[in-house]
Amino acid sequence: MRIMLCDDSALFRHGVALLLQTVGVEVAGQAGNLAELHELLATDVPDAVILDIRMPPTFTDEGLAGAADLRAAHPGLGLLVLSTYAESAYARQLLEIGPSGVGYLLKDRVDDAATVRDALSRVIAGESVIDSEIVSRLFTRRTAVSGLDSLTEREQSVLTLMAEGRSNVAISRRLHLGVKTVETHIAAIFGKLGLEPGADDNRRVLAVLTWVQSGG
Amino acid sequence: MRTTAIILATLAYGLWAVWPTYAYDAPKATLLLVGQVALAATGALFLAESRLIGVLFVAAAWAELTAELVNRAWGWYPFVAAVARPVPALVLMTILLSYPRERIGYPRFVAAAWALILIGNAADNLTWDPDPPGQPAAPFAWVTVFSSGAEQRPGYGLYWLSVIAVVLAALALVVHRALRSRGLERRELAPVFLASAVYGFALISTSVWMVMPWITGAGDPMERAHVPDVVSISQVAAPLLIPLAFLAAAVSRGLDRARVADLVTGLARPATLESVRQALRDALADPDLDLVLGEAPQRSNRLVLPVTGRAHVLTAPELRRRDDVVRAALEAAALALDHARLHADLQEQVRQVAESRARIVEAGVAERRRVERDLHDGAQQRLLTLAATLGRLQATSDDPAVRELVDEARSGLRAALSELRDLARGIHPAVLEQIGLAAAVRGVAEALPVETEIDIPPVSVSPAVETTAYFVICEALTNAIKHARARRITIALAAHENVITVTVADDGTGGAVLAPRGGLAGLQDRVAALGGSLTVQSPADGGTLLRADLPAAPSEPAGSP
Repeated sequence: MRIMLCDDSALFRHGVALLLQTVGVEVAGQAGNLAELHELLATDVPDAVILDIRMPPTFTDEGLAGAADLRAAHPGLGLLVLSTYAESAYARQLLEIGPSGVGYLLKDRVDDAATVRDALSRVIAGESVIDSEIVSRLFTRRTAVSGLDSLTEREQSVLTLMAEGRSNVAISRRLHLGVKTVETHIAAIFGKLGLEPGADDNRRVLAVLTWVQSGG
Repeated sequence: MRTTAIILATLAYGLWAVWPTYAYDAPKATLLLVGQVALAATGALFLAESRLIGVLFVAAAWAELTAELVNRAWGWYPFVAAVARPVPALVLMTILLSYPRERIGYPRFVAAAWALILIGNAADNLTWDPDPPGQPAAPFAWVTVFSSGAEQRPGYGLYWLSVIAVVLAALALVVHRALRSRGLERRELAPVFLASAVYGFALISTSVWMVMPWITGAGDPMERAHVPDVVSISQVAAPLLIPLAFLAAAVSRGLDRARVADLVTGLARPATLESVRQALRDALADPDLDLVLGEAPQRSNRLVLPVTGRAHVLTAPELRRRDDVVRAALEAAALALDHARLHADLQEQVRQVAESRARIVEAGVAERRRVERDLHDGAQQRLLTLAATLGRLQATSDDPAVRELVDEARSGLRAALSELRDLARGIHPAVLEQIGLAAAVRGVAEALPVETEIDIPPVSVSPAVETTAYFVICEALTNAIKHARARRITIALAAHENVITVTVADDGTGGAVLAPRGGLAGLQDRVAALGGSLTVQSPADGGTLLRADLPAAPSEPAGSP
């Protein structure tokens, strides 16, 4: 697995690079801003890039706009955005740039190499990644406000994993179920929630997030 | 009291003096009596304002009545009457040339006129015997030179010619005064000048009629049958115009004071130097009046009066006499100017305070933004790097004791990062600039275990207003959850012309107050610093409505050229 890093903090970049190397991820290049990243990508396209959101020149949401540009320039490139903020609005914006292969992870996750590595391999595999904190926060609220009583416990677990961006195969592995069983659960969930059944890509994640965010 | 006494005495003397006249000309006698009593009354009333004029008026009335003794009986009376005959006219002339001064006007001319007329009249009367044949002789007649009719006596003709000359000269002086008078004085004296002219022409017409037989040598003018009505009536009526004219002058003075009162109330607020100058010109009837700021200017031909320490009025010197009106007008002007200055000062101060407050607020926002950036770029990145280092340690160490310690360190670090993030967000919510108020509020709300309804349309406001609105909403949400245990919260923002109104309503327990050191009180200060207001309605039986009105000055478009 080859990746590149784009973050304006050299210290953090370096720390993440060392972390990833310990779990066998090759860091093929580091950039302090998007322009540098584009230069690196001109000669060498890795499997994925890790992007900071808040970068020069405006220090607002360069990373999100940059992700859209990168997706357009290199459609096969996995995009993992690391953010200081657990903002669902950012996550949604990211999901909207393409049908698959994007991830939104809190920077805090760098204290666990496996989580970051897992997220990278998922975006490279074309899955979506939504930080579990954002998802659990949304589910907590939804549960408190209007409840998820219509769903069985198993269905709730499946729904949460769907919201985190996991594919049917990933969910089946995670819950130790057969893929067919997972698909049955998903069909049941979509039926109960009144959602259109769709492919297991970003659109499904968006639909689930929208449903979780609504209702109160 | 004095007035009544003078009027009653004049009435008594007049009744006695004109009594014989009633026998052959009752209307003339009545007119004469009424006229002279009126004249004396005018004099009595004038005593308070001007002793000289008052005394002269009463003297004129008594002299006129004395002159009427000519019809009483033979003996001393006709002589006294004959001597007194020109006195009323001389007195009235003196009044008309003097008023409104407290001394005799044109004193040399007046003295000469009195001497000429009195001596001429006396000489004519003393040099002929007025007694018709068969009547007792007069008790005097030093030298009876002439016993013939008026048309043949040289003194008679010379006397009436000198009367004409004096009256013409007096009229010329009146015209001179009228032309020279200015402003208030001209306005006040206009009726007096007019009455002077009418009276003068009445005297001249009478004199001409009297002197004509002497010039042509045909008939005695005292033959009453030949006296034309115009002469007879003007002789009696013209002097009556004079008290009326003085009454009109008194009314005019009263109106002057009323005009000053208008000046006080009529000035546009706030007054300007120009409006006060024009108001003073109107009130003091001096179109050349000037109102200047600064040191007192030196103009010899103008009366310079201080209005306030910093302003002076230049006006006609005649106004010195109308001290009451002028002082009132100047005080009104001073008040208006002071008011205008205070108003301008106050407006300037308010503007400065508002600007300074806006600068302080903006500086505060900028400072908070800088601190938040420092936290994000500094401490936060270092702690995150530390997290990555712990991640490496955890991934590389197989020692369970180490892994346990790393886990402990990681959870502590996560808590530290979370607290740091909250701290940074409390100092300056950077997400506002990134995703806007509505999304930022939604982000806060979705972390809360309650139903929220959010209606925040996109608005263009300054960063300070947007940040304050955000903090107000966050604080209200925290209170609603923590203290009021609300189940449902409605957050709305409405943009009006100059104000955006933020409301947060919950269905919690109510009874919330703006405690002096509570979170809301701090926000109240921030809202007030922007020129807005924050109110809380929280009845004890449940529900809280927090409302912030913030000025909606549109923000400068970022990055515009």
